[in-house]
Amino acid sequence: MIGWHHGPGAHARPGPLRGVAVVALVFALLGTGTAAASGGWRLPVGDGQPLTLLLLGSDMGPPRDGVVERGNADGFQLLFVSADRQHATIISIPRDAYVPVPGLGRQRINACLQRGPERCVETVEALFGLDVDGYLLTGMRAFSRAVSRFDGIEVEVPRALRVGNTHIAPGRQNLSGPEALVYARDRKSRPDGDVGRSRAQAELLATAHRQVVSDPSPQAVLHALGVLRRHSVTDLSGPELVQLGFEALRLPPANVERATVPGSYGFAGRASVLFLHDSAAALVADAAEDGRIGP
Amino acid sequence: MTVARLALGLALTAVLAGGCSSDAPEAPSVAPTAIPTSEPEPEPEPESELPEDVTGEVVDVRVNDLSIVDSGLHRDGAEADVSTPPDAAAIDAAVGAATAWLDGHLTDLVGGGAGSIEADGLTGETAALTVGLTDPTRVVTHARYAFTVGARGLPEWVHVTVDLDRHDDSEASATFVFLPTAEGVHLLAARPTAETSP
Repeated sequence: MIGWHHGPGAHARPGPLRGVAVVALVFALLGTGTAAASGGWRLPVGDGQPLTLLLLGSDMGPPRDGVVERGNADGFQLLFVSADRQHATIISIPRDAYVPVPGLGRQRINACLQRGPERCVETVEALFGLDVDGYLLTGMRAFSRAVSRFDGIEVEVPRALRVGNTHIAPGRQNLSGPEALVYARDRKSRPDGDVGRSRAQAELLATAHRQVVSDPSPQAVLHALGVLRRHSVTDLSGPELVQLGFEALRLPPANVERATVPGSYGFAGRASVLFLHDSAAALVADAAEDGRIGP
Repeated sequence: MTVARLALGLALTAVLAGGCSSDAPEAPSVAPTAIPTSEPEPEPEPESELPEDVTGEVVDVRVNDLSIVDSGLHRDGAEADVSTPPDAAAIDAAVGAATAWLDGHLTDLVGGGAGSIEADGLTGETAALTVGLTDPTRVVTHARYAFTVGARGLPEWVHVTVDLDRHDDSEASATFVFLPTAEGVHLLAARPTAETSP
């Protein structure tokens, strides 16, 4: 075995082409069949089962004290993917959602993370009657660095946003890591507060998927997967995450739907909370069935 | 192979030794008489050569560190903010398993087989990919494998760029991504890159 090089930015050497005319990209010659093709990749078709992932953002960990696996889950998104990996729905759950948290009684749902991400999984499984296949959790600084290492994320900023000293002007722009964090965190500048923030988080997820799919070169795909792997805590194994990442290449961005669980604000004691409507469970069950909302 | 060569060598030695023996019959002293024969026997057709096994050359192995150091998940420099050293033995094993898979796949294609892709669960279009790499009419003369292995201690994925030279002076290249398994590696995805004419 020859010696190997080690480094976070390592790339495979490009294949040599000896100055002869390129006849065709091989994939252009390929026929049709059952395997999926996206950007020239021949991809696995999944295990034939719909997929449910819980995506969490912690308010603990750098720059704050405390560990990222504890704290409050101010980012709380359920991702449902169809069995054929052709459709997906992101259901946003505002952190103010007032629900039973196992072992903690009725709480804002974000409190589940005080007992660890596994407790958040238990919470949504009990609340909606789901089986969650895995979770991914990140923190504020990790999210910011991930976006920076992803070369930013392009969104349409509807209004001026601000958290601390970081401002974002309205308009379409490629957000840096710190700016994307503001986009994901700011609720005070949004008229719909925590609900609007939760929607914005789902928008960032869908946009990130669109950006990955837009450049399906091997280096870009593996770089994106590496960024995801390095900046999140998950109960999925590394190979499982890679498998899901490649399956995500099959998912057309236009087939990614987004919705927010319906609810009404009220008070629990002195705390302003979101009481979920009965239709929230039906919405989640619908998305869980086939990764789509509606028929 | 060695045993066969040894046996052949012994046989040749025996024949030569017999030819030099004093018991060898003397050459006839009269001119040989032509013996009428029928049509001369046709030259036997040369046996078709079995293609040789493809043995790719591993030209590069790089490791992409997937550990969480400097990720911001933990305070920079904190005890938890550590790099996980790559497991060299596990990486070598994964590279070796992927190399064996590719060698076997290409050898099967050169021999007119369907390769190993469908056996790893990728069907349909993927099978067509194999045609673009090599077949009995475009035998591989040189295969080069350049690996990048994503690892957090243990390998989590194996990416290979395969470059092929073929005996008709054409070339082909493709990318394969494998996942390490307890048994070796499993093909996750494949992507043809380019094909060139002579």
